[in-house]
Amino acid sequence: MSYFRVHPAINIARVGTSKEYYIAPETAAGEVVDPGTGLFGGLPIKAGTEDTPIQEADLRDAEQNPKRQAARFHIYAYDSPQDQYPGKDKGREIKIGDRVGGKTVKDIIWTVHLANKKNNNYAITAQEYSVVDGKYVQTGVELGIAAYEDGALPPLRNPEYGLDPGAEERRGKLVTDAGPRALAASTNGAQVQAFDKQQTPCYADHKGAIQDLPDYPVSFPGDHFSLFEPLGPIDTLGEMTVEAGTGRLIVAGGYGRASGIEDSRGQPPSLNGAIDNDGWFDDTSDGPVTAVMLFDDGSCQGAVHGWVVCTDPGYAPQTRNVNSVWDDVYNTWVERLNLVPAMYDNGYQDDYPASFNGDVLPIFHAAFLQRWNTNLPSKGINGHNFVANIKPGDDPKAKIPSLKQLIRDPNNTDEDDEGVKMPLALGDAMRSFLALSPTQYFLLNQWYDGKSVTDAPDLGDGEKLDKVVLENLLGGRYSPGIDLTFIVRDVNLYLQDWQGETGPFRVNRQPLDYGNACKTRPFLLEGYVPLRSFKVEPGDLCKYMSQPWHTDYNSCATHTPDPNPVGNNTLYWSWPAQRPVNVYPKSGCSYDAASGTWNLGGQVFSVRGNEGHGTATPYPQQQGRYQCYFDFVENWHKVGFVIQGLQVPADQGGDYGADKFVEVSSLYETDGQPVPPWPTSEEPGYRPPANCGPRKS
Amino acid sequence: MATRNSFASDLFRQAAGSVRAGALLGVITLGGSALHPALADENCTAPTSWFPQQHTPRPDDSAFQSTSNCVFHQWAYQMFLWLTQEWEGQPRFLSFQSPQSLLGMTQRGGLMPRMTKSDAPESFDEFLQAGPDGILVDQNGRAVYYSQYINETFAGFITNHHLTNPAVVRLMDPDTEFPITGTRGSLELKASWKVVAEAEDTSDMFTMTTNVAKLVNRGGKIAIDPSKTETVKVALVGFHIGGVVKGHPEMIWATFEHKDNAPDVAAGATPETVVSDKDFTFYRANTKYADCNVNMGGAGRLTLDEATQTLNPPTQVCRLYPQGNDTTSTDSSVKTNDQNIRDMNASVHAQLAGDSIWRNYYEVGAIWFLDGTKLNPGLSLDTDDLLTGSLKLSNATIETFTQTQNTKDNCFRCHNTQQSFPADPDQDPLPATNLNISHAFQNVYYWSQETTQAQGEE
Repeated sequence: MSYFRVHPAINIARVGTSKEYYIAPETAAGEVVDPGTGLFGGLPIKAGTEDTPIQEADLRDAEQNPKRQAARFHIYAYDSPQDQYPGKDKGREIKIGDRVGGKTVKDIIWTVHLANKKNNNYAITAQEYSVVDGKYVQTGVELGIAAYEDGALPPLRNPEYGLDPGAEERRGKLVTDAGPRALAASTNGAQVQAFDKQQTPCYADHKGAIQDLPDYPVSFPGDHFSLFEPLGPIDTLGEMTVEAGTGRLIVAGGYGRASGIEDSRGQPPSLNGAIDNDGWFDDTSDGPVTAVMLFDDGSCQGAVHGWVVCTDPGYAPQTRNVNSVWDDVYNTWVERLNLVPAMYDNGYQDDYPASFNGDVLPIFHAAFLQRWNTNLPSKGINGHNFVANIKPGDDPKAKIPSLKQLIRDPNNTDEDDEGVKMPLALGDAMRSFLALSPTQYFLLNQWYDGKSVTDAPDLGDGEKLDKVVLENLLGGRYSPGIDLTFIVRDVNLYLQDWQGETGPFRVNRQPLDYGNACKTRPFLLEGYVPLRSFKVEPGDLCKYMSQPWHTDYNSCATHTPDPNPVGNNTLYWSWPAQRPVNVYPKSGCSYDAASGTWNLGGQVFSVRGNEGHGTATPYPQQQGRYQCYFDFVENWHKVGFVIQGLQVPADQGGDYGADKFVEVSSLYETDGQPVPPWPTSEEPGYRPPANCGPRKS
Repeated sequence: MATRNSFASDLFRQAAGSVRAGALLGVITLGGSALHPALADENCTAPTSWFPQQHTPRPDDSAFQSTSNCVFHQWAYQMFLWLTQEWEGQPRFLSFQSPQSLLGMTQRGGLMPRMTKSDAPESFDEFLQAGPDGILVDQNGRAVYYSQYINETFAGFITNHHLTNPAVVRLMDPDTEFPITGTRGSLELKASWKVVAEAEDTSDMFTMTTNVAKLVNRGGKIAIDPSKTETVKVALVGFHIGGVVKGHPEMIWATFEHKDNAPDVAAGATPETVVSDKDFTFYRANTKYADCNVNMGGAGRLTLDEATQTLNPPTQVCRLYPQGNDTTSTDSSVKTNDQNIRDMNASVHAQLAGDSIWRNYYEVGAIWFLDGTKLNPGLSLDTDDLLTGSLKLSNATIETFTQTQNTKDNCFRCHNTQQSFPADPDQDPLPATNLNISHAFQNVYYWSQETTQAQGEE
């Protein structure tokens, strides 16, 4: 019997201040998707198109507000149970009117439930700076998932509301829950369901009938608190609609707002932490995406669910992370959930061939793309260009005389603090530097040892969507990260019995019985906790992210490692692929009429505003960020985007060229401080401004 | 191809054999040092036998005995005096050949035919500092130029073992070390030169007239155009010596500067601290520390006026580590090292002739491997574990922009034995070898591939 799945298994929406949106990328950063032009993947898609990549003009609306990124979900039909990965049955996308198993699809009823539980969750306990007794000190230790081991739990956020995350007081007030919304594909884009207070929650029952939930306990921060709302009220988590002509679901998220609970004097809470700022809400969210297929014979069938996560903006969508969320998820599934037993069966299998195009080139391309978001010196750029130029037929040992000297071994903790091995960015969970995932490292070594084929195993289109989305996310350094965090390394996050209809990478969703919803009682429970078997509710993924996201984004430019190797003062990048630090602005480029090409100018900091206390400082470790977190909250929307020159039209030469990725659409009015090439070093003695605010006048 | 490999293998059996023989002859006898280091370091001075400078003997590198910290600085200073000794009417080092000459190249900027029989550089065409793409701009807006030299031991080793052939390099025993031929160890040198403006008083500097390649705006960057040169007066402002002595195939790396290059930054300075109220060659009086050593070239914020060959803004240079160490260090070996340097400078200056131009130059510091440390291929040298001497050694005119970063703050951070990758993806990388400690060697390896490519294109 045929069955259905929502793809991608997890998809990413991103905040923006515009009501308009573009569609989340369905190609992978770092992958050349058009060999003719050299266009790399990772670009979002123009709304209303199948796959037209956005250009510069699509990034902001007419009022210069950054557009949101909406997540697009597809339905795929499969005819045989899956017994291996990739599956033998490649599946096919289904639209209304398609025939499946002798029946015609009459409609598809989508249901999405969005929530934000950040304030009723545990602190990330990441390293951050705080003002203690008037002094600026480093506090906290970032342990990642280890903080949940052996029955331990990190401290709760907002302890003044009680110490039991399951208590109604906390769940009722601290959780933003818009409830579910349902929409028939047959509405064909004519209807929008908003995740706000005005629209009545509704869901599709198991027969696909849309049921209103007037008694659902919708909860927004303003229902419970007097709030400081510098960017406007958090009164919606976004909306959903159906893509006209395809029946696909479109989910757009929030507007990047942050609101703080006012104290008895009417003042907002402080905003001095990089990650855990009690009393602060944002309008990111996540939740399940379910679908019920209705057939012409009156029957119905549910599809395997997906999950939508709304998170930070994507300012450099084409820059691939050397270690992406995909790499961590794949590693978890390979090593612990028996995904590819030919590769890993109680250990990596020595005869398993890597794929050059699928396993090796993405790492090299990711390295090669880092230069567009960092201040790599020419030597580093040359080295990355060199490896990106390696071809499938090349002798690996002729191209890289010693892979062991070049690449950090993730299995050898002695190499954690070696600041000369690649990748040369910051690590997480008390590992100083970033490393490839063990699976990546194994496959890279297989290639190096001559055990490789050129092409990657053939994925079905749905499987490709699952993978591509995660390939475009920040991996490796979950402190806590940009999109998803260390929970992706926890098998409890997933439906582990993946063979058959379910398929891999599906979130272990808690079935929600909306019949129990009532106005007087919060509906959602504490939900998923790492290394525990609790199933996953709406809001359980994004709750492990920064509270609010803005502070962590601002903070994570460059740092010394944690732990910092003895004698080290050199600064390394935190999340360069996802949070550009140094960029080449379009405005700095010059046209060379003789060659008909554009030349790069100097670099600038991506975050370089003068507002409030500004970004400028003589202390390199604080450069490229606002000196006060609140100034970033108020000005995050000004940050520019880094996209390939092909997508940036120019009066001369047609465009800025495939060979460069330039910053466009920045609203910052000056070039800010100069950006010398790496390395830069920490200068002791920094003191933050004393009056960062926010203060209500 | 088989013939070529066989040819190379033959060469390398010879080469490896000769190196092994050298190593056997040069057994290190450090453990049996007769002189207690502390005693030797109490009064680190230049022997009177070095003076007058016209008679300074060349150090006998084969007889070097690592008995104290002082002897390394004595070697460094003796070599400096010998290299700057007048020979055929000019400082001796100017008679040395350039690394490029090993390949018959005149300049880095292009494979131009040699116009003279000399192997010395015909014009200075190096203006980027090693590392972070820095350009040092003097107070008149002119770029500082750099020139490099190798001695006959270095050149002979490369030539005799056919190391200008990249295929031979790749087949080489990676443990091969730079030799000492007779009493003369391999040497590589780098000099930094300031262009002298009209009416500028450089009476206390060594100056000469030479050709420099002009700077041009090209491809959005400031580049060199070797086809356009100008004749200018240049003044020596900095001088690197890297030399092999017995027991130290990693080379002793020493550096010297003119006395008025830049002010020292006092310990505890903050960005707002005014480093000095005096003008220096590369520092404007009353500049704050925050404005020192800003790599405007690397940041793409220098502008070049091609007509006047001037860049803007000038670089304000400040020296972070006098004697190449943190002045607040309580480490006794650091204190000894720094005192040795100060003593050597005082001793040499006292004994040089009163009118010697070289009295205006001084040793900033020197760095080398700790006793008993073996040079091996693949050493990253990213920590000080194997190092001693001036652990934060930079020349303010050659490594202006990398004085503070621990990843670049001494010679060995870049002069290591790790593999390296070419700027041109079509070239072959350089495997980890002991010879990689020399950037002249690395450059020759890549230049030789350019030569091969150019010949292939013809």
